[in-house]
Amino acid sequence: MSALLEIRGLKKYFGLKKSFFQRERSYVHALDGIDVDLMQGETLSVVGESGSGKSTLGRTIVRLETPTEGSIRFEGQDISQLRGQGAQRLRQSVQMVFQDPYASLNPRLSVGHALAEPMLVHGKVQDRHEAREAVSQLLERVGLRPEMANSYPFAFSGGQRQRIGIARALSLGPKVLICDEAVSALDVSVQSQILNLFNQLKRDLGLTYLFITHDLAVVRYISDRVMVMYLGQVVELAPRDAFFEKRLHPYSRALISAAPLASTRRREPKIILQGEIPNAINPPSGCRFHTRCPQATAVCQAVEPALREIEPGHHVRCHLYGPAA
Amino acid sequence: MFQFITLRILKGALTFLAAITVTFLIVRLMPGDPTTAFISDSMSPQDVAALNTLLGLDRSLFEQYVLFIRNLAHLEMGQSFFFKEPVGAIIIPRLGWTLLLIGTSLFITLLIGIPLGVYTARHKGQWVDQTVSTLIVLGISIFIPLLAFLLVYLFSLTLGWTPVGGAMTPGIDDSEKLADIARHMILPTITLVIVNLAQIVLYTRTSMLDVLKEDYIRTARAKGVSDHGVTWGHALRNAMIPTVTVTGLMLGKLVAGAVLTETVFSWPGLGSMIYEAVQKQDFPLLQGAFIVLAFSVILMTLVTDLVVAWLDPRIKLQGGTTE
Amino acid sequence: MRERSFVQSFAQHSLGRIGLVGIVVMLLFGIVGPLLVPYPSGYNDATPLALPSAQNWLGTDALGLNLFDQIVWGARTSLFISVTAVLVASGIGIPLGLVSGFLGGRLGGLIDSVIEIAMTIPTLPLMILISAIAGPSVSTVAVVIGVFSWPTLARIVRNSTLKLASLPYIEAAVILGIPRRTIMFKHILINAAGPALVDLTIIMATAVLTEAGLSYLGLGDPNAWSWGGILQTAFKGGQHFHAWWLIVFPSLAIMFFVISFNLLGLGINETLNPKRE
Repeated sequence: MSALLEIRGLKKYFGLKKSFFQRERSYVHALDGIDVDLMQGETLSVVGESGSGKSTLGRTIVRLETPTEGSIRFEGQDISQLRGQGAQRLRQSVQMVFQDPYASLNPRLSVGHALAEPMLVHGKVQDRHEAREAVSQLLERVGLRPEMANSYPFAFSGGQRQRIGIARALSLGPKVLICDEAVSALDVSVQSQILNLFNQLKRDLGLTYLFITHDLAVVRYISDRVMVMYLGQVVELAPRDAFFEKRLHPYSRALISAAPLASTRRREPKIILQGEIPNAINPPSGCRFHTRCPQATAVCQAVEPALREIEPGHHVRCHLYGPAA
Repeated sequence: MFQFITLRILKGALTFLAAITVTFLIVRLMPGDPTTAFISDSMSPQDVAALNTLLGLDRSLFEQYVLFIRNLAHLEMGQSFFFKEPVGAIIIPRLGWTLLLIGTSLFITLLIGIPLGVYTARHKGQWVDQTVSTLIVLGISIFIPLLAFLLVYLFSLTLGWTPVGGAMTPGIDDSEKLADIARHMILPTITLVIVNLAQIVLYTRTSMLDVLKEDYIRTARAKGVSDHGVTWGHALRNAMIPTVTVTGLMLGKLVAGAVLTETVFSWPGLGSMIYEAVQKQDFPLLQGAFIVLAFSVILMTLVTDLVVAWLDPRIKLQGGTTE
Repeated sequence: MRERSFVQSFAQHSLGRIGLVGIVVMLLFGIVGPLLVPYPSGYNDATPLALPSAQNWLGTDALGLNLFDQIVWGARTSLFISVTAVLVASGIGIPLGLVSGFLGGRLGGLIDSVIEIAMTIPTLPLMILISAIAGPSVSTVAVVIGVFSWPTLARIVRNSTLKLASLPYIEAAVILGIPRRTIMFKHILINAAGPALVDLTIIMATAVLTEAGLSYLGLGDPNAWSWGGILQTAFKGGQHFHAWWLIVFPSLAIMFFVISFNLLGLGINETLNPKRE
């Protein structure tokens, strides 16, 4: 299995407007040094609270944002500073599915038009006739009827709209799909349908997913590997079962404990974290989680832990597992 | 806040510079001999020579521009063809009349318009609202000379209540002067008020409706603030912001209205002066009038912007404008 | 959730319908009228300053020319002016608004500053200046009105664009590699068209009012029939107090035109932001 995406030292800072009285510009440290590989054919879930940077990660990969530092390699080629022709070619390989089905489709374009347009732009089809054929195929693939191409988004339910969004993302034949909270806005019953659709598409088309979500139940259902983010950093990265079983990082523990999972066994009392996520403009010193960590020690405040591979395939960023422990 | 005020003043200055530059370019680049814009046949050769030097009409465009700006800084705007006097001296007294008219009209318009807008917003859908809304549509569509003509016909000619035109009756006693002017001002003011009232009411009503739907109003009501208090206290202050903004934007329209109104009523302001200047092809006067008008409007817009900033705390804190 | 199409909702709104009817009448007058009605010129043998009668539906003016004919031809002028003004204003204002709102950055800020400055300059005096110097002509007036109307339109388009640009479906278009030009002029514009259309109706209404005002001040085109021009001749000749029809009918024509477009604009506005609670 090869790595489709190799991310090294990825940083994304957003500059804030400088008022007259401040001496220096302040930045939001949305991504602060991400290292991860996305392997071909896997579903990697990215979990975290809002403010963790998980959405920014997805947006940076599809080049909605430009990295401040670091590299992103797709199939070996650095895409972090791509423009023009190169960027257009990238679009054909990496696409995105959005969260809000009611805002992700242009209300004034027919479904057929929205699906055909990218194909026409990139030359995947030559004329309207071919386009209509291709659109019909796309719609069937996501479980919709071809006649729906003539309708407008307002005629469809949330779940249907999400399918249309997925069809649109697939229209260029991508290898990687970034799913940004793609099921979070759906009713639970619809969620499972869409998740099943994702799995089926992965099998049929050989896709690779980066699945951004905050819902651990979804993570458990769909992931091969899990990556936990906190305040712009990766704090744990592990295969799914290992993650749920071992839950090494204290933050992961808290997340899992807080999630309403199907299991009725309760291993430990619910962990409720104190306080809120600190702001990303001035992250805490040392380990960023130390302000809320129930197991924080003196060293946690002083020294920032590195992301270490504790067991094969299982990485953690925490002093509890480092050489200091 | 300080940063905002400075920036705003700078923007006003820039706008003024743009306005007078446009004026400069229009006069000099329009088809036809630009010098005819400043030199008429009735001037003596010495006058012509003097004017040439003053305005630099025989030099390059850029040099003329520099001269133009420098002259303006000294309030020198050339000489009127018709009156054969410096433009500045002619304009200033007439500016006063225009400001009197516009100022009074604006004041009355706001005095009536804002409460009316608030009232119709609160009683939306009821017959008062419907009537007012219909009148608004009429109001924004009115053609000023027609309205002025109707008013004069009805009140001055038929009923004899108000004078036909002008600002003062000649030869009147000093003690009666104020009352006299006031009487002359009635019809032109009514005209301007009617024309602009519609827009103010429309805006106040719309923004009031928007504000009343907001969550913080519901909160205030839930807290038990009286209906009256909610309207006048919480809602009004925020609804005022677009209203003041639109007043600033309306200044241009006010000036246009003033031009037409003054002409019909022979009100001796800048507006009618522009009309006369056009009739007599008195370009220096025309240009001077425009510059003075532009300055006044820009200044008033600046003031309204600062008032909006005072009302809207978001602007003060961010040091910029809200989009 | 079934959403009525824009046209259906609009058709329900009575104000908008009235406006539309008015506009159709105007179009008939202005386009078809001149084909059926003779161009008023020369010295008629009809009596000057005649009251409205079966022969002269709206009476005649000081030269004995039929007022009805004048009004019909005036309609054509009014249509020409408002359409030209709208075309000029849109041609400048819409692209600038889109670019400034979507591309943002320094260019966007610069355009916005230009818009703000342009909006503050009082326009009528400037128009008077231009007309006085350039010579009165219908085309000049129309173009000038358009040139003075673009800032407000650009501002409106820019504000809509700013709101739309961060919506997911626009981001999706970017990610899908749709060219920026297409995104602006198709994806964004079709959603931003509403408020822009409202402003266009206002521009058309204002254009006619402005032209009437300019004509009234004596700056109109003497070669073209315009409603303001008819008024100006009437006022100047001092006939207005006796020949009431010379004042009333052109003024009614002006108001009819203006009200129709304003109603249309209000109708569009209500359809876009239904305030039914």
